[in-house]
Amino acid sequence: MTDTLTPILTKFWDDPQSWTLATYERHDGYKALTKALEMEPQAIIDAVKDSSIRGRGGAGFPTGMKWSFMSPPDGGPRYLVVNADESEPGTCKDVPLMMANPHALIEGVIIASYAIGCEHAFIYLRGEVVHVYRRLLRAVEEARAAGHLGTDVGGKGVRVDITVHAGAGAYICGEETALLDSLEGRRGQPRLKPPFPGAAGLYARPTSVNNVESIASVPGIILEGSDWFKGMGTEKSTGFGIFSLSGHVTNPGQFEAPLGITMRELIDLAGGMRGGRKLKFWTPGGSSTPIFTEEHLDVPLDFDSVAAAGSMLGTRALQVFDETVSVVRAVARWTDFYAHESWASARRAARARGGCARS
Amino acid sequence: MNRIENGQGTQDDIDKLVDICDNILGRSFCALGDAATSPITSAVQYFREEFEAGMHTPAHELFPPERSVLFDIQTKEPSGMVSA
Repeated sequence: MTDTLTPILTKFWDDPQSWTLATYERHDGYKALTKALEMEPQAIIDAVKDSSIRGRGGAGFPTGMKWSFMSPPDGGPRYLVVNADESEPGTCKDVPLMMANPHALIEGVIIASYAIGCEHAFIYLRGEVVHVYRRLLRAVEEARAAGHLGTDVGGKGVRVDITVHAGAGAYICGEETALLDSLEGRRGQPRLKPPFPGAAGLYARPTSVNNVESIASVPGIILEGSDWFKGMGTEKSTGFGIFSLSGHVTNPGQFEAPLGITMRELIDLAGGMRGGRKLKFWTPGGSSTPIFTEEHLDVPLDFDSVAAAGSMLGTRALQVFDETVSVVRAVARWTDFYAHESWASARRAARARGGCARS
Repeated sequence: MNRIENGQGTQDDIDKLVDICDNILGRSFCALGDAATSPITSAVQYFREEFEAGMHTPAHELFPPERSVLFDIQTKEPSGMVSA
């Protein structure tokens, strides 16, 4: 099962004009929404819970659980916020996904909003990617014109609207509570928890913050069923994910595969090491996850196996370094990045201790 | 980190790095504090000898950046001609 690619979200990325509503509809687009609107909101949450999908933003928290942990409806607003502030070094999955197939995310947002009782959802996008911002805005416009958004979604009287917000591009705003602060118009700084966003998030209202890929996977789960989703991946890390391979491989890029695939298989799929050189080290989930070496090539890339091997699956940002690279220099560059991006008090703390932070 | 990269590190520097990381890990406001430490601690764990080499040899001498590229690095001749 784990030896093949599973193009689902990436299925028609190579279509000319893959980002349009017409293309999306040709590939069963918005069929899941029609099905979802026939279901009770709780049934949608149960289906997502049953699929055991774990958040694709790095921490791997089960998405369905997150939704059911939100405080019960009390008549006031509830929010869904999509974290599209993809900023972990090496991670390149959400941006290409929104670029090539924005409607998968929009449909996911509408279904998720209906499920958790949210009437106004936000997509917090990294501001630098203006081309993606435009594409999302256009996709929202198309969806609204088609009646998928607004005060009467699908003729069922469901209200959902989406605001696409462009952030200013800070690493810290990828942290969910800092993201909420930033969305509210403040400086992005993490909040003390509890209260968790599920109880008091955006504007102190119950909020669910989910990654782009988690939300974009929801239409598939609704349309094909949770058993279909569980048929992929491993027992505890179900489904598929987009693995972004970068660095010293012959053909870097995004590979959508079941969780549990190994790095050895992925490097083969990417055409092997560049120039036939030897692998020295690699990161399983972006620069913030402990690095792996050649001995970890056969570790199944699912949340638990990677954790057992001493690292984190994170965002599946696989950066590959060959034997010509100095570990010291690579780590020094990452550390520069973290020093630059760390918010003031973390930096002060590091500096006070004699500091690895330079600035 | 910069001292080690430039080949001017001391034995204390490696220990200090690991010690600072130890102090940040699990004590930061959010997960991103931990995030900053993991590349350092894991790199020291797997490639300690390279950090130790940073006490006397700069990283760019041990691993010349031009070796990482696939094309031939050609030195520019004074005449502007490029040697093969």
